[in-house]
Amino acid sequence: MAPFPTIHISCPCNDSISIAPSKSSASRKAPEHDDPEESDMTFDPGSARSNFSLFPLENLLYCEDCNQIRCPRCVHDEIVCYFCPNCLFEVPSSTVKTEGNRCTRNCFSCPICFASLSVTAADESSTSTSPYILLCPHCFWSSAEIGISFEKPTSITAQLAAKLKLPSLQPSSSSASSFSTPTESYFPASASSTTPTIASVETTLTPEEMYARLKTHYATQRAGSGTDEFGTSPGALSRLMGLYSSTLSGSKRTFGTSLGVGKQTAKQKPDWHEYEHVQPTHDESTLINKMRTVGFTGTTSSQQRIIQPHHPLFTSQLRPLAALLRTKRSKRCRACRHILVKPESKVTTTRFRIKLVAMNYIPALTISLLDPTSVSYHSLTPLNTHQFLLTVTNPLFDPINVTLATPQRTPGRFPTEVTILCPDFEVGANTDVWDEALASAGATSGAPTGVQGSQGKSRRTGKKTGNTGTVWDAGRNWTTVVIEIVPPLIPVEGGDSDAEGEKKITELDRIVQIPVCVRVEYETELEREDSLSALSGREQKEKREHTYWSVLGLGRIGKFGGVKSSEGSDTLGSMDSMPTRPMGRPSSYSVNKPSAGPGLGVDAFGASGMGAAAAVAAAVRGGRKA
Amino acid sequence: MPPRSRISVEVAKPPVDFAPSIVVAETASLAGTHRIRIAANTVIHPRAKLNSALGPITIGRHCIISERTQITAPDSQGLTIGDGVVVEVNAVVEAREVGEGTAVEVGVRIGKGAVVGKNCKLSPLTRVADAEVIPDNTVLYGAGERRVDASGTAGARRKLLERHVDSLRVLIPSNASKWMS
Ligand SMILES: [Zn+2]
Ligand SMILES: [Zn+2]
Ligand SMILES: [Zn+2]
Ligand SMILES: [Zn+2]
Repeated sequence: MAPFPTIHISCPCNDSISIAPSKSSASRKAPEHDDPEESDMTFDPGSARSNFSLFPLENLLYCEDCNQIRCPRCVHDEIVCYFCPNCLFEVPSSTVKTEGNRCTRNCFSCPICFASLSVTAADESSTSTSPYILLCPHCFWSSAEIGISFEKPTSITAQLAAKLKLPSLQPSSSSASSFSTPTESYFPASASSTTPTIASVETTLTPEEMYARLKTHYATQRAGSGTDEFGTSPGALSRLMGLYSSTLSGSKRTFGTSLGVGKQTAKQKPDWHEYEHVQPTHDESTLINKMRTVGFTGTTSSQQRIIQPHHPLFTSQLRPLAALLRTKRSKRCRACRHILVKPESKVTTTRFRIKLVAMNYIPALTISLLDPTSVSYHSLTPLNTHQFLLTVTNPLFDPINVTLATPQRTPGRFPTEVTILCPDFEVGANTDVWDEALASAGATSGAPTGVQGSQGKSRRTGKKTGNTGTVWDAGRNWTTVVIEIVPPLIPVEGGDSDAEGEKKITELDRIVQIPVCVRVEYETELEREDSLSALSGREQKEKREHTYWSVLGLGRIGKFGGVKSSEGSDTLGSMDSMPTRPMGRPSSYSVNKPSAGPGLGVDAFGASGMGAAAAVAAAVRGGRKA
Repeated sequence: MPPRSRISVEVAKPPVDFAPSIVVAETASLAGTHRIRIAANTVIHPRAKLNSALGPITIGRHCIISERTQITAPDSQGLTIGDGVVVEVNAVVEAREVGEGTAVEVGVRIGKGAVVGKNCKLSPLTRVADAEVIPDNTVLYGAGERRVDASGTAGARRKLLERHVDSLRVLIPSNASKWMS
């Protein structure tokens, strides 16, 4: 059950127009795309595309140069460094290229329970020959169980690679020569202790051995190609093409002829053949017998099997898993290539050098039920009016003008009626908390006693914004308005089979999702000292505007006259009548003229300037006592 | 719940049989009517609860009974905890027997009359059903998974535990005489 309410913001890269590179740095000034078509289009949260463009505010970044939200789809990740999450050792990218993306030190995780293993001195009484083992502190799996112990407690990876290679080295001397130092590659040897009995020497090689041979082959080839490790230069490219032919004049020969001499390649690399040939699939009786002897506990679970590179069937074939490396990443705007996030490159510091998160640029929305005691988010009553409080919080240091637009009926098969009681209002600046406190302390000393407790309001009324009457509540940098919805009545499923043309009612139809277009306007002082602002230096203020779609998931529609609401009305008496009021109520609801149910303390609103929410709370408390 | 704690103070002290080298914290709670035996070098943390109302409790040497544990004898046959057993915080033990060297970790519940073998490990929050018998060297971990410990590290663990007990002896002030009188 999804937790409600949910608030998601749509990244405009959905339209795939704004992803195009911004025209120039000249467009840094307020991007005034006041095309009316855009505002006519209603964002449909139910459409298949919107699934991919909706993100919670916390997941969004903001490009200052494009003046646009940036979602994970329209940023470009760049790896700053690789590190091992276990030993926090930074691994150079060249090592990652040669050794793979696993820790090459002493970091392993348990093949049974995936906890990280620790190097422990083995018990004297135990059967292991060497003094150190890898032990899981959680499930007590130890490397001694697969017959592996270590001479020294350091460079376990190298020791492990050597030990895993050893048994498979004997059959073919040709493969032995191709191995370099054991640290060169950690690839666990094949699990099949029942060595396949295919006659050819080449085919007795395990896949890992073949891979190692191939790798050394390529390494020697690349060694000649100089420092260009990516093989991007024309010379390297032609050499790469030439790898598949025995002659060194690879650049001269055409592609067709090089295919013709495929036979000669066998000297340098093994022939391709099916992996399944190596596995003794033709002889399942041994497998079955082994399963019979080891029993259920001796076989691996699917999770244990999949995570291992050689997919062992038995726990005796499990290998310690080298820790996977993690990355630190910086993020770039895909449109203008500016960096949006840049972490400190040192692994142990968690700070960021650059972090342009959207939370610092666009106002945050929060939703709550006006009267949380009467209705649950999970069972909204159809055809009843529900009231929610929508709070807009301003992160900017300038006051903003917010315009909320919403379709009267939400898109979809079962539209919900929506009314925002005050769609146009102002939100105060995110000023210093202490400045505010000092200023309001001076104000309240002279102000009437009723104003105290809502400092932001006193300042707000001083500014004479026109909409104070319809705003529910406001504070320093936030404003709350009331949003009313009337959920639709969804027909009962199964009962009417005659409506075969209709689609089945899904869970998605029951969720009330309201698209809200948030338009923010504000004036800010020019900060940049670039050439453009220097030219037009006389105007100090700049008007900015930002518009985005957000989707409010307000809850799930319950059954008509559901059990929950009737229970609530029993316990709470008349208090419950307010939010689950029948839909005939006039929608011109305001704080100053409450047309609320009979149980509400009407006087509490009108008489004093006390916070309306507090008044409701007081009324609830009074009603409970009575 | 202040009223309850007051009652437990008034409850008659159970007959005890303490080895001289044990550490019993002042605020540990020992209740019941049957005998509670605690062997040498065992540490009972503050706020551990031992209840012998239904049967005797016997705790072996080098055990650590952590705080907020409930050690309750299931019936008249009593509860026997072997040597070198660690009972971690919030564990509830109502077993008939907990074998030597077993670790009962955080939040584990051992049902009434269960028998846990030697050198077992009950990982945090695992459960042992009533009257269940857990064989020696069993590891309970994850979501009810079990395996046999073949690492052979029981001896090393025991040594670590004895050192742990030695350090606790310095840290926890003992007041065994409170129950001895
Ligand atoms: Zn995007
Ligand atoms: Zn590591
Ligand atoms: Zn493990
Ligand atoms: Zn950009």
